[in-house]
Amino acid sequence: MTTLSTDGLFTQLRTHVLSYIPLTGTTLMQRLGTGTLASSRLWKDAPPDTAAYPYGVMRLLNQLTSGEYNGERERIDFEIMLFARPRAQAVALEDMADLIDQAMLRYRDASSGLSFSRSRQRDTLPPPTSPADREVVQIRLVYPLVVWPRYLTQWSDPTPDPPALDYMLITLDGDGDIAITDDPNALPLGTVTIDPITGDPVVDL
Amino acid sequence: MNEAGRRGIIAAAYIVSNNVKRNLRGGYTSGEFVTGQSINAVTISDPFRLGPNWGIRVGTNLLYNLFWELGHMNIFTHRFERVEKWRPALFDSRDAAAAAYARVYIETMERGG
Repeated sequence: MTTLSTDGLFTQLRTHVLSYIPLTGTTLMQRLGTGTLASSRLWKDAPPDTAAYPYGVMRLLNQLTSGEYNGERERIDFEIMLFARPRAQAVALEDMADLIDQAMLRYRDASSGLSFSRSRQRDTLPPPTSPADREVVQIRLVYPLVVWPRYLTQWSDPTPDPPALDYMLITLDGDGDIAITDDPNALPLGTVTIDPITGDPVVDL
Repeated sequence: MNEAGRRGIIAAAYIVSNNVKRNLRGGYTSGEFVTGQSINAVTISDPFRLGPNWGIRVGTNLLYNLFWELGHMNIFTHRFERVEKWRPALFDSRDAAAAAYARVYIETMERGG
């Protein structure tokens, strides 16, 4: 995955919610299509005119940045709108919304740049009135994201990408010196984690 | 200080409400079917407490405003339709609303409110 562009961020989020494997039941990819990313009816911005139900529409809204992070940190609302028809499909659609809530719970991706979400808002819309089709069930899901996209942070970070490993162990080597390793079998004296907000290493002995 | 905050948030809400009404003037599509119903249905709530702060809601009591804003399957065009009027109005109003809040807050405090 990549956050080298906004479209890359879209792809990252779409892949994540569609591929998430729940404790029970099938993935969203299977519920909104035939089990492949390409066939899944989760579209960006608007569905095609001939879209079959159920389907979803995803958008990035309210992209804001602020001065204290030199403009590199963005606050974005990730919105997914789910649609089903007829109204008897309401329960199945709520199940899909549950699945997306699970997928986005404590969502974090540091494979390229850093993006994470820690809260959400969910609304099942009331039965629509004219000019909307009253048999359509609609659920709105919004996940506030914090994103350090690579297309912005590349100017501050001399390395092409942060390491995929998000922790390391502090150990004593054979000479009694302190060493840092990613060997999971090493006897730990402490750990180094990366602060998800600042990106700084945090040493815990 | 309570009264200053309450009056300030009402002033800020009117800035947002006016901006929404301006955006709604042309209607959601061609503008040929504008009756003024959407504009007349822009509502402002009473101020309410949000912890130590004041909050207020700018909204509508007309359901189809909600469906145009969030997107819906339109029975006349047989297509997905979404025309955002409210969210852009809120975003465009942020600075002016904050300024109105500050102005009214200060005026009220100066009068001993």
